[in-house]
Amino acid sequence: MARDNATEWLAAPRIGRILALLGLLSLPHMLQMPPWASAAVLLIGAWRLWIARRGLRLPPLLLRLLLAGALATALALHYGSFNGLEAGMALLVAMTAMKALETRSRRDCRLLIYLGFLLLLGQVLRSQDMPWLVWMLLGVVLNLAVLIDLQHPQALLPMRGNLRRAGLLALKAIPLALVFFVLFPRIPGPLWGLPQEGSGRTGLSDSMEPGNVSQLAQSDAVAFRVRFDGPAPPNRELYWRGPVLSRFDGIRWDPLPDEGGLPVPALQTSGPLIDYEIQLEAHGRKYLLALDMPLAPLPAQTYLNADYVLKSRQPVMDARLLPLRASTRWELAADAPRWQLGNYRRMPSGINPQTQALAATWAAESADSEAFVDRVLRHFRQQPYRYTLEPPRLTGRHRIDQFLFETRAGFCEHYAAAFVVLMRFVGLPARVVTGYQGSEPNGDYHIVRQSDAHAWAEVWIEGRGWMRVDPTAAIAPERIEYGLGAALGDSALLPGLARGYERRRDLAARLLLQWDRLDAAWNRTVLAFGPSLQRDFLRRFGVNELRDMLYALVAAIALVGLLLAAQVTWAHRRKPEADPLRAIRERLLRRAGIELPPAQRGPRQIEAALREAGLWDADSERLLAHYTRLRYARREPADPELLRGLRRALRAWPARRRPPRAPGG
Amino acid sequence: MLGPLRRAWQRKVDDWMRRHHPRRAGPYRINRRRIYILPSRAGWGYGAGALIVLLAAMNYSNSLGFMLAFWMAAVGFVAMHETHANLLGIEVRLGPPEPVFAGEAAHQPVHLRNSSRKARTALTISQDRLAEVAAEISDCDSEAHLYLRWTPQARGVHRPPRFALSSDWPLGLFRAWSWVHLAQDQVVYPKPAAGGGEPPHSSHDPAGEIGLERGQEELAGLREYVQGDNPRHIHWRSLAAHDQLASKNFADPRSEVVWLDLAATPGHDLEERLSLLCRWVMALHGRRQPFGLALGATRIPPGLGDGHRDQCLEALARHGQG
Repeated sequence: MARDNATEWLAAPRIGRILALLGLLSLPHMLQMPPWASAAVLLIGAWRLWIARRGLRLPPLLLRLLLAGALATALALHYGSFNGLEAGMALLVAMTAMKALETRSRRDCRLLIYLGFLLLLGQVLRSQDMPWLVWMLLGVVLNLAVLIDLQHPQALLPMRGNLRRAGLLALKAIPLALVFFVLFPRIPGPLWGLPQEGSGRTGLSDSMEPGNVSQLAQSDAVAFRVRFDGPAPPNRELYWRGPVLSRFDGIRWDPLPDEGGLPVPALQTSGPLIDYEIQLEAHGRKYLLALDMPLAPLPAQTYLNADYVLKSRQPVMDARLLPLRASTRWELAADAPRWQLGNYRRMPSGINPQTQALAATWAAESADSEAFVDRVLRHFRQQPYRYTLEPPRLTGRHRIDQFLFETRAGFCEHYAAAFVVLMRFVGLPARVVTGYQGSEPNGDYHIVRQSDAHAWAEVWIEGRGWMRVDPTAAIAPERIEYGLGAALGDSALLPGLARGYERRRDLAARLLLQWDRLDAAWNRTVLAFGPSLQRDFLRRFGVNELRDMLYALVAAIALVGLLLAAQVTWAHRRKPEADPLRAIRERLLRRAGIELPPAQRGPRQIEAALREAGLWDADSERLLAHYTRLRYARREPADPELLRGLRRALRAWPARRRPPRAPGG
Repeated sequence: MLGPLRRAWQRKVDDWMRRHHPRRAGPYRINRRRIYILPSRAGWGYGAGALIVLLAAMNYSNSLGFMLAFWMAAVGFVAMHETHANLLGIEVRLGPPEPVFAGEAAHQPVHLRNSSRKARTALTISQDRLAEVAAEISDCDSEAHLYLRWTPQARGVHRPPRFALSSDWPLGLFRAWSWVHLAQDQVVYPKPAAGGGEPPHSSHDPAGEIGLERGQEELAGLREYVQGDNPRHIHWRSLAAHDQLASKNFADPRSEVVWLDLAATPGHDLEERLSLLCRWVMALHGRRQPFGLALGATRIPPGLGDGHRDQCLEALARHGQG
């Protein structure tokens, strides 16, 4: 391959810096991409660097197009589409690499750096945890430093100076960025459709198959945080209500559609009201979590559906603060007419015959519905059922039979499902409720983790309405009192932070909890700063309307502009004159308003200029004579006493005392 | 179709320029009112990038995304001020330029002076503010010297065109520029004619005056010593100065003086004749033959040497220009 002139400007060190930057910014993405794609991207980068090192020609267009097409096709096949965040980011990384392969001009380099900003964006879309803020700050400064590097067409600037300049620039921009952050009117998103609800986020899903919840319980990620206004209720009362699942197809449980037209049932509560605030992590779905049972007033943009699930009108795409009220003593739908309960009795026919037979036997033995419920729970308690995160897999059509009579090992979702099926076989309305159970106190708030995910059941009893029944409590009461760690012991599957709260008071755990406090504050103040929080925050300063917001924004921008201009003026101060006499001379010229070329500022020329300006009189003559004497005194440095005198004389000299008067005027 | 419109627009722009940027005599200090600033193409691209980030942040209600977008915007805002500040307060002067022949590139010295504490980086001068390729570029801690390249097409005394002192430092997102339009004479000699024969052998003084007295040997210049030169003609002082032997070159006015006379020069018009005279001046100078020049009333007595040549060329350049 021959040498290429166009690549000469873009010498190896220069492109090397850009490639290093992009490699760094792509790193978190490459860790998520399929390994072959990351390898391809790294290879392309290395190839570009080798081309620069050897001064070779860039690969021909056809080859580049083929390569780009092949990469894009392979990624599309791997991800199925480019709709999701991960697929989009993989494509961005791959195309950035391809762009590097055709980069030859300054414009191309700039584009690469702009792509670097998008790589940063991709990372913060994936996770907004605090460390990524640091990553973003760092990334922006590096981007700017390389942008500055491109700017000097002649020399390759030392990177340290670039970093200093970029850092300073970024620092100066921070106040304005904060102003924008607080004052820029926020619109409730999303702007365009979200193709994949809940993609790439952990959290309860809208449906349940045996295995979902136990998988979720293996993560110690924070699901939400709670701040109680009063004392926190005991752990066994902390049932956080999530999706209610009533439709059963033999394997899978699904919620009833909200559009079913069923009325929201009546709720009666007794006992104290509990006021609290949930700080919900984004999970990309519409259900919210609330302490069983939620009461009015509900937060804005939320509603209760017929299953008494608190829902949001928009998917929860950002961390949210929800002020809520609850009561843990309640009676729901006690007087519901039977026709409204049909959905909760429906069963696919012809499956689980053993379970059906068992239910029929018990029903015959039981005096009433409540006795039947007790019979079922007694069965769970007395028979050798195991509570485990790794139950044997259930297969075939009769899965409930298989669970109840063969495997007898399961997680909360298995027990809840079996319980509901048993109820329905005898005509009792019942449903599965998913959500979280328990919490972990940390400072002035409580953490609810994914490992607290739980499933329980509700059964409708004539005259009492819906009643919560938690079969897990029958099998593993420790789970409800003390959490998953207490129930499972130190199972290897349990995430570190979910192992018994009481037992792990070691330093690492304490540090992690401290960190969580910081994280909670970060989420409350920064991440949750959306339209509603912005409104509340600005109202405190009397900024209520959009118009006021815009005025404030413009005023703040103008203020920052003024400050920057002041800073420029300060930075542009005159260089200190090393020679005091020269400084005096310059001051004299400035005061007289005379402009002379630097080489023509001798006493004679100054005299001529003063005469011309009509400023020549006894005072100025004396002043100039004084200056001339010192200037040519051949004494270095000049006598300080005489210098002081000269300065004094200059101060007293009224240059503009007599403006030149037109003759006869 | 758009031609006339564009010309009309160009005329408007030129008028505006003449009114707002008249040629000035003295040093030109770039103050706030003399700086223009606009986003560059790269700046628009950056803005588009920030907008993409903003839209994505809105769509996903992503606070860090908002921060990134706002930070990018704020960096752009600060960069605008820095670009502006990079030009602010610079003093521009023009130095005396070397004369050139018509059609040749003239290099007008441009002196920049920065008396502030802030160092200036990557300053460009170019005739077109948008010129992507820098004509000349320099950093300016306190003094910098650049050359404005331009090509005068006709002989005479011209003034350099208006030019832009511009900068897109530090990020290239904005381009700030100031129009510099200063007075400085540029002497442009006529373009030497391509052909037209040998200089005349006429030693006839057109006015009958005698330039050099007869019999008097005139020192006409120095040339490199050649073996066999009369040792009495060696110029010893240049041996001391340049460590090189030089012989004194004596013109012999009696036999070799040539008078170049505009009136006796062939050609269709004045410019053609001047071109031819220019060629002859260069030729005679090259041959070290003394010559005199008569341009109407202007007469330059015969002589030799670089000074004499330059005097004659300048007379050719200025002829008929008041």
